[in-house]
Amino acid sequence: MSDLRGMKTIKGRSATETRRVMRVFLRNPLSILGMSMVIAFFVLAAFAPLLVPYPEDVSGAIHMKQRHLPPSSEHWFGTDEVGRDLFSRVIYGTRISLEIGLIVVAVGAGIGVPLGLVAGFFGGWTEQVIMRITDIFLAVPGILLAIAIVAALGPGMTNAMVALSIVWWPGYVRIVHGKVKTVREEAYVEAGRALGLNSMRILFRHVLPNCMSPILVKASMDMGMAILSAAGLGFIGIGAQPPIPEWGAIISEGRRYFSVAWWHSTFPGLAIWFTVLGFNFLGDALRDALDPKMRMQALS
Amino acid sequence: MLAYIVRRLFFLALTLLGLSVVTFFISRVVPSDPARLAAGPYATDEMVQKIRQEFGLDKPLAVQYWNYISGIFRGDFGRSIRTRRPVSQDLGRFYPATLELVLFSLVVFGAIPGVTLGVLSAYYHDRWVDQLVRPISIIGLGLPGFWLALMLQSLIASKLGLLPVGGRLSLGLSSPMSITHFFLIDSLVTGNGRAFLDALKHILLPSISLAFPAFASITRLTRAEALDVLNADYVRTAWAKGVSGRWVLWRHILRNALIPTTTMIGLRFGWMLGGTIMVETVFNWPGLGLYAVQAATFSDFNAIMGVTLLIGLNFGVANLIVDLLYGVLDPRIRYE
Repeated sequence: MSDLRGMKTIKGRSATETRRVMRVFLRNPLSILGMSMVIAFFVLAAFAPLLVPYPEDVSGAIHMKQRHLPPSSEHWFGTDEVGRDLFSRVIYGTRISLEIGLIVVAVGAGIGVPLGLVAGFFGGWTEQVIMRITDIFLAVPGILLAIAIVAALGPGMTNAMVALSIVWWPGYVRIVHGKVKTVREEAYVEAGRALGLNSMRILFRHVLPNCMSPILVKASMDMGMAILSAAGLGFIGIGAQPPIPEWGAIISEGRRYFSVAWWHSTFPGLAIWFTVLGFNFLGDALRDALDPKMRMQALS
Repeated sequence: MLAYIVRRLFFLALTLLGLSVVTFFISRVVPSDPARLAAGPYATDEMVQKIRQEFGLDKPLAVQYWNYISGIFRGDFGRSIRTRRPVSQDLGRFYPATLELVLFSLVVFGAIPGVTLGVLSAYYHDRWVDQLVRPISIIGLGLPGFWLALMLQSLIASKLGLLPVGGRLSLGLSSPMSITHFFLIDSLVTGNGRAFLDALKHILLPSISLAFPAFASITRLTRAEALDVLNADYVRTAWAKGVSGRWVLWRHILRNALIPTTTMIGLRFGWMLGGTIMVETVFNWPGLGLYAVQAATFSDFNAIMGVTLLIGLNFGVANLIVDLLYGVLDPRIRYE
């Protein structure tokens, strides 16, 4: 009987639990700040083409008469080495960075979560094979492997996204695998088995929903990290290529001119910083609300 | 304990073998024509053919892999297409620079201030120390290391001229006699004060940029752990029996809060091996990161594979050391 009562909670959180999560989430000022920042980025990204004051400057426009103008009421972030409005480019860059972040995290989770589920649930040699391959990918910093992959594929934004996606999935395997191992022993999974449900149904309908908290937290943190990594690749010249207004690439362009135009590299850097911070706050708050025991994993 | 170490080293070797397959796949299978990529866009067909033969790229993949991996066991990582030197020679030259930077940065600007401020911040919970430390550690989380590097370089080095713009040692100053290949240690040991000061000036900005994110997360974690420990029964007992505040702080709080922090420091070492790539690029620091970036832009795959394997080895050894330190810090932990 107790097993059957357990079954009722398997489809996710009960109403009181949801209320508790919301309460914890809303009580923390940083979660409100994080969420507002993230919403602001998405709004900026969605409406970037309408918001930028000089849309032609987003791509390859050249205005040699207004090179490296300092910030002013006309050009809030100043202009770059060929006279393009940096405010327009940085705002448009939000769209590019969020796109990269979303794709990398979606592909990473899309590959990693099912592998982690299968490894944790079935165990045996399936688990051994999946986890050992995961170990190999986790054996070096992801950015180094991503650089190697971009070197093989050739520089460019698409290839940078492919490379980052390839190095991003192992983290999800590890986190989901660990969680499944504990969930697997719960009464409702046993009850599902006793009722004769097939493995796939138990796995995706009952185990997966109970693994969602760490996945959500990691995805939020990873959005920031993926954006930061992509900017790093852009900065060293193998990610997005000019004139694409990707933040890392803009910083790299502005690097040579710092002594005459400090604003050129400064504003895109601030944009990266705030974006990563926003997703970090959100991830932190989600973790505190959903899964307080995860402090260690998320901080790492 | 010894059996545990041997088993871990065995698994590390297997993982590195797996990593060599992955990097081999990336460098030889992913590019449609690695020889043409290496030869550059203006190379004639004969030049491409020559490179193909010279680097054995005309042989079947299995043979190429066998040649590569058997070479590694002899300490031969192949030749770099860019520098024309054996990769093992390049790695030997650039590796100490990276290790010196990462270790100095992690210890001096990451772990020591991070742990100290974390514990103090918890001990003086909600007092001014805490209120100062908390925002700093939060802000540091998202700070892009390469951008911080660029800002520090532009402001402190270029504009104010307080510290060198880049490199490991000033031009015209010969490197100290090589013992450990760490300039700071070698110059100190040989009593070369001038070289020591110069090397110290050069390493400051890169290591601050590299350490800041690590410092932030170490501080945050130590603070959180120390706060937990502060509320533990044994700390209350210690207070109750009249143990002095300082003793409780260092003996009870720090010791217990350090266990998760050690993991974090180990993890951060690994991260910094990645982060150093960007920082070395900004500061022109002659290490593995700069070498890897230059190799990547030249499609110099032997070099990239060499760097990847070497960093993988460091990563693995660091993880092992962290796991062993666990046992020292917490005698309840047993190795199986």
